[in-house]
Amino acid sequence: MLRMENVSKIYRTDLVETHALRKVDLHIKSGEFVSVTGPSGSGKTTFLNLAGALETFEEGDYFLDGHNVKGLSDDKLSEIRNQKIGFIFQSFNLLPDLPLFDNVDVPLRYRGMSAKERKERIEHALETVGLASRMQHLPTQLSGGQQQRVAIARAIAGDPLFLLADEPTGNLDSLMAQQVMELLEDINSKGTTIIMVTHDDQLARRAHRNIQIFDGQVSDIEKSVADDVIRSA
Amino acid sequence: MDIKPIFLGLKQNKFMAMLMIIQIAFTMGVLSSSVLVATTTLQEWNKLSGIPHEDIVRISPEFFDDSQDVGQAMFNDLKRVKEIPSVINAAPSNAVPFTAENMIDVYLATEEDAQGFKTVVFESDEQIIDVLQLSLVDGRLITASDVVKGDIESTPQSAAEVMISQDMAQVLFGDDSAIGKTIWLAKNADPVKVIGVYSNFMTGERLNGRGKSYQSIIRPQVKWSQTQQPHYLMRVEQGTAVALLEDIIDVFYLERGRYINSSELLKRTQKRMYDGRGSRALTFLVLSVVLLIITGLGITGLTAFQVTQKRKQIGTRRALGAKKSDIMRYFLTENSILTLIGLVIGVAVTLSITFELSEQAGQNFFNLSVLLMTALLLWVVNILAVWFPAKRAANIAPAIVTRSA
Ligand SMILES: Nc1ncnc2c1ncn2[C@@H]1O[C@H](COP(=O)(O)OP(=O)(O)O)[C@@H](O)[C@H]1O
Ligand SMILES: [Mg+2]
Repeated sequence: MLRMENVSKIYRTDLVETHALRKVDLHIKSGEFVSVTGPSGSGKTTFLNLAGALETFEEGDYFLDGHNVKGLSDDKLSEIRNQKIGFIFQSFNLLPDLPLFDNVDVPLRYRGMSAKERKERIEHALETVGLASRMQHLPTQLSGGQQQRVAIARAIAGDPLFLLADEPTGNLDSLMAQQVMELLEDINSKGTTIIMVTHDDQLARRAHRNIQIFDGQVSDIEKSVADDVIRSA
Repeated sequence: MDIKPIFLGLKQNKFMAMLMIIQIAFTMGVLSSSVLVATTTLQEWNKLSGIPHEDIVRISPEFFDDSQDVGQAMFNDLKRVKEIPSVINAAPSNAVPFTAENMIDVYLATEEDAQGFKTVVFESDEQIIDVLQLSLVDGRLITASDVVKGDIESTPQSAAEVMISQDMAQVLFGDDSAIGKTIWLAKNADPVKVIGVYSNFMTGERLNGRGKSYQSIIRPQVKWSQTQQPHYLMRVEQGTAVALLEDIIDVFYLERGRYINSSELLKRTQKRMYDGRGSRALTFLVLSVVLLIITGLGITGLTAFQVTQKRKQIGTRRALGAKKSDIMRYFLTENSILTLIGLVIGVAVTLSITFELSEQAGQNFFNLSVLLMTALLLWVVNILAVWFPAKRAANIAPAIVTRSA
């Protein structure tokens, strides 16, 4: 479903070249729950940005659903983000001016769905995260955990190919983090693929599979092995 | 178009929205009022003078020798002037076209509350008709025998019959014939009878502004005193006025006891009349352009500020699937909504301003097409003003959502 072949990302400034990702080969299958871990500055965010089509790259190929993403126009990349990927950010990134209903509506509108279908999807998504009763509230009226659940509703409302979560519990206290993690597991159990960047080993261990990035290089570890590595670390 | 999220956004940013609306409304009010007043004023320039002003010269002599017989001297002067080959005709007149000298109210009755009608009275002799090239519209022309001439002190009687202009007749009597009708040149004055109606000519600035440019009366009387004499108006052969002016002036120095206080080609008198209004109109227009630029920059600044403040939100929208064009459209639509509201308020302001001005000046400044053009201009300036910050917003990289805290 998602396949990277030989993908490299180099950031060039006048003075330095940073090899943020080096020859990444990766295959993630439909339905997987993958955690991505690694030390700070290792390239996790870069990986997430490429996987999420938020940034372009020059080397290698990236196939999403069988289609090569490399070299697509900005508009085409916008479409891919909009239709195939659900984003969950560390700092939630809800639009503060819009009530929850309209926050969840944002990606659906860019997809040009009918108002009726959007309404159904929004209500269903907010029900899934347990916030259907607060549709007309503004984000600031919610706790952090609730806001992140709205962000998750926004990410799943469009039935994306996969969810891309960037430290989804990073800004939450442990109880809320627990709830959000359970919600993600629940969503995954119903078939949605999830890729989650985290530096929290506890959380990483709950995924099926852990991908570790060191200095831009990916080592892919199956769950059983990952558990061992993490335990012995 | 997705207007709902934009409205929701504006609802949460009422202060900014109000600021934009007020700015647009104020600019629209001032801009369109200025443009309306300016265009109305400039349109006056196209008004016909009704006389061959290019070929008419005014001379205003002054007599300083107290022992002189002023009446005789005037007679001599006029005679000598007419002897100049290129001078076709000359007449004394206490008023000059384009200057609205001698503006008074004329009445149809003498009651306390009788309505006055603005007019300019030209006291002159029968030659004035030929000098100004007026044509007879109704009744008869004044003749030499109608003219009351004399020194003010020794000539208490006044001409009891007058001619009035076509517009004057229309204002006073509508579609009725003016001939034989009685009017009063002051409430306590003796009545005078209208014997003829002549073609319109422009009387001057003050009446121009009131849309009454062509209301005048010619009274066949020439009066003078030791200290006060009429002007001379003379018509010369076409195109000779400039070259002839010095020759004409020379005539007044042939006899001692007088000098030329002032002289002017009537084409310059006309220009002078418009210069004041023209520069006022121009000032209005320049101020309008300055205001337009300031508003444009203001809108650019406010929008740029918003874009900077909302970088993260814009990046989020981009990450969630907004194309660059969607971001552009968001800002342009938001601005259009505010512009529309501002314009509606601005038009209301304009209507009340022009209504007030029109009342004051007795002249209609309102013109729908000019108003619409101004609104369109302001709209275009707004789009330009928003375009560049919106472009910057559209270029915000979606990756900032993961890169910034
Ligand atoms: N826009 C950029 N320009 C230059 N260097 C960058 C940029 N973004 C990231 N980097 C560099 O790339 C490397 C990987 O960064 P990142 O993917 O953010 O790591 P992580 O998310 O694991 O902390 C770091 O050395 C970082 O300094
Ligand atoms: Mg990072």
